[in-house]
Amino acid sequence: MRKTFAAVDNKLRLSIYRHFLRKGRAPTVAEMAAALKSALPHTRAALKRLCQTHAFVLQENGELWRSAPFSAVPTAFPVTVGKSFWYGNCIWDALGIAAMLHKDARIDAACGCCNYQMVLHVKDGVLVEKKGTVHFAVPARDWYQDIVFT
Amino acid sequence: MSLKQVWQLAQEWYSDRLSPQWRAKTLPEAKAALARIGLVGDFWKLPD
Repeated sequence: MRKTFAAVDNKLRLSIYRHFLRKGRAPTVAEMAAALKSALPHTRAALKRLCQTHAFVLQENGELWRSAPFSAVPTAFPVTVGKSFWYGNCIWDALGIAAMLHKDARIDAACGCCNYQMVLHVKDGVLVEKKGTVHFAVPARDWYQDIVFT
Repeated sequence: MSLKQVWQLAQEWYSDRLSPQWRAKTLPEAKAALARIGLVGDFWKLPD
């Protein structure tokens, strides 16, 4: 990332996370532009640069699809922290929301093989449940070839 | 991987995400993080 853009991009990055935290959903690109008092083309350009980190991914319509660890769309990994609620992109990211906020959390996941309920809790910085296996189907070298599939 | 490992992975990747100083991990940093968690071997090898 070029140094000249770094401050703008970081401001946008933090603004997106703040929006998720306040509203429980992703900001639209128009909301991002308004929050930064920036023109839409400049906001889209900054967003495109953020996507180079893989933490941010856009949908085909140009709106946010993920802002890791948050998903902008409903997933099978809902995370509850106090009275707030978000979706993680996967179990890694769902736990990532708890790790990012440094707060207790409940993740209403389901077993990947039988789809039975598999609720996880983070309490005082510790994952309460000890028994369980997490399955990664895609080798690390291919994670970002198709992040949706991964 | 175990639940313990995925929790460690989540902490490695996200515990500083809201920091204004956050930056994406470099490839060597990401490789080192996976190794710390015990995610080693061909499946966990990141591309060079």
